[in-house]
Amino acid sequence: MEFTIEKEIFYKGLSKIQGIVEKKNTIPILSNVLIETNLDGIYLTATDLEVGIKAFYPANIKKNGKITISAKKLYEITKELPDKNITFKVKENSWIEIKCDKSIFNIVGLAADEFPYFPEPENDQFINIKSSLIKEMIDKTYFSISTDETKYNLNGIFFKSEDTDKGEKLLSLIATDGHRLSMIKKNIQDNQIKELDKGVIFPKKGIYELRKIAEDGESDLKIGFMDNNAVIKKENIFIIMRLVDGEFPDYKRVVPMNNNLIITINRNSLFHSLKRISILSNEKSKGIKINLKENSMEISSSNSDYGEAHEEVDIDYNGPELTIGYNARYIIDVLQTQESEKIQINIKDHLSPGLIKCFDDDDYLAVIMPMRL
Amino acid sequence: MCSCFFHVDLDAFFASVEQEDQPQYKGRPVIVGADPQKRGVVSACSYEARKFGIHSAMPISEAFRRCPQGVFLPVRMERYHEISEKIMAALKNYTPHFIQISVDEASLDLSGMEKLFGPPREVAWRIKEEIRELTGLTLSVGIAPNRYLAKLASEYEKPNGLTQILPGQEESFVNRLELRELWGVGPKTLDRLKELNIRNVVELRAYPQAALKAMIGEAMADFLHRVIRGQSPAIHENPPKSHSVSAELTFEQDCKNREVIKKTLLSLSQQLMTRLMNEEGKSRTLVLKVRTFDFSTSSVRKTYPYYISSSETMYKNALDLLDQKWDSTTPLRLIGLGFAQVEKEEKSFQGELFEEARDKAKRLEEAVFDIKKKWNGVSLTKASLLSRKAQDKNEREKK
Repeated sequence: MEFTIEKEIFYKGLSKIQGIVEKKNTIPILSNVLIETNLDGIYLTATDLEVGIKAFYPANIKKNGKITISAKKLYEITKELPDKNITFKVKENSWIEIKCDKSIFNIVGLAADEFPYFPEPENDQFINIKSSLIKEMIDKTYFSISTDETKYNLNGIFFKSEDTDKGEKLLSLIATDGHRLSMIKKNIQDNQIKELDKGVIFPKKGIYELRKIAEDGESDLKIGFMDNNAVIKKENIFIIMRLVDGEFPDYKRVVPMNNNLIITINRNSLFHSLKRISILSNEKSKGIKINLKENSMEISSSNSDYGEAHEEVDIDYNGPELTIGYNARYIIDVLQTQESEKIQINIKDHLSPGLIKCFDDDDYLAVIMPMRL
Repeated sequence: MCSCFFHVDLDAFFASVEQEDQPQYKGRPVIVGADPQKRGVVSACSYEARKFGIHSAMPISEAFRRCPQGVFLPVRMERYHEISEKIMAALKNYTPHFIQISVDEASLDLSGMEKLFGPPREVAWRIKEEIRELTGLTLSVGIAPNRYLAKLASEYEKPNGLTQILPGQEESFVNRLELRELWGVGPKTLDRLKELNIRNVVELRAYPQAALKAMIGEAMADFLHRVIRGQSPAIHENPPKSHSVSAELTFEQDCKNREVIKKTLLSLSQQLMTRLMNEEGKSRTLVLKVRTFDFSTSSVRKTYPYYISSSETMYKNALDLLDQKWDSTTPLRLIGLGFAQVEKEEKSFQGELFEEARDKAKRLEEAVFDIKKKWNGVSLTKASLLSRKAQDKNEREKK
């Protein structure tokens, strides 16, 4: 096997797979990238058996073949090479020679037949989604994904499509860690896909990869399903990820419907107040206290090791006086992913979940459970 | 300023309380524990009983064999706690740096208090006098530059002892002790030391530390290294990061009745949950221990993805563990249950969006706990744990 490829193309391709290759090194070949040739280019494939990526890049093929090689080392080498063509040549016993300008590297690879089988996407049904749209939806929800590995059914984002009364199709993304929940819904192209109608959980690691390719280039993404996997295509890249096998909790039940106490507040000023006051909150719980009075919100924190802080923020509110504890992080996470100038917080009392919405955006909502301080 | 720690240890506490409450037993061998006609162990015994070779944790039948003329009394824990509270309250007056170690032991930091109270020996006599007047009980005091040595010193001249180790005398004091007298050195370590031909503290001190680490493990070797040089192994100085809360029960007769065993586990679960909540702890790990009729003992341990927050959950999980450890036919002699890796429950509490059955059970548990706390002495338990007698009585009263 032998081919010549532009450094920049090879480097970009290799950087895309770094997040996927197995780092724990339990199965050595999973830390390798599979390189295969076809007529006018190469395929780079990496997988950790949960998430896999396969992408095509143009190259000048001299001799066909396939090989696997340490994804990390190849990436590090390519990164440092000058901006010239790279020649990649497989010699006897899986030895690989990489040449660029005056540099020569000889690295030992592993035979490609050891590499796990990577399913090819069939011509199944796909929906087209704008890359920028899916990126926005992920950005506004992913922070609520649970990091507790024992709650495996919360270790991802729930994708679900629904038909509206107007005959439109909505796609919702929902993430929760059991203490807070973020949900966003957007119109999508009307295509019946039974997996999405039922709802599926995309794994956290797959979400990061999906976000990465959504960010890279304007063209549309295609999402489809195969067995228990989600398949995502964009231009020359194809990602496959095993869906989380678990039931997503009944999220609709926890979205409060009759929180009658309404606070309207400038997003930016609340965001910065929370950032400041939370410096002196308990490092672990991040608890802050919110004291509501007519048209005024006092945010305070105290930390037995350092001291206390408080600050007043102007709001629109004409409910009763009330004190609620929250994890400041949860509110900050929501505020920093929003664009609108004003937000609305709907609450009921100091024990029930609070609802955060944007003033001019009905597509998004966040639910946050208070804290007992 | 010199460090000055007191270790206060009540002499044969349970037995002494009994002798104080029932003066006719004074001077007689008093053994507090299980019914000698049944099974169980000695909880405590008076010094008169110790002459017969009786010690706590000995099977009660063995104690009876050694001393049939002894006064065998049941454990009255509530009474001991009542006396203990009085004593601990009195001790607290001597210093704010007070740690109660158990129902009958406490450690006091009296460093720098000399100007206030006078020389340590005099303070110790005052403490002894005060407690004797208050309760009629005697106690032993150890005074030393650290807590660990103070504990050893309190053991040194028991009962009614007073031993002071002055700064500079630490090593020479430890030299006089036998290896088994070093608190924290158990039978297994003693066996290993014996195998290494180490017979006393002096020989242990001469033994190369690296070799010792290889033989008895790093933690134990470090511990010994410090204590035989009279240094503090930092016991009781910082609150432990994690510990366990456990209880066990020896059946009066070997038991293979699943219902009885289940009921025992339910009762243990309730006890343990209350104890855990009392010390504001939380845990995700359960340990179940079984001892079969032939004394073979084994245990199983499991860590759950959630904190065990109700006796209900604890009991259900304990039943699973029981199935793993017990074939339902071998008669059991003893069953034990416990929480391992107990952590401190934080004061602040993040609410849950998706309340599960477990959370509801937790709230019920908290409510029961609050009732018990508020109405001291009220007992609130599962109906299935009420004995037949109590149920009959209840019904009679209803009528």
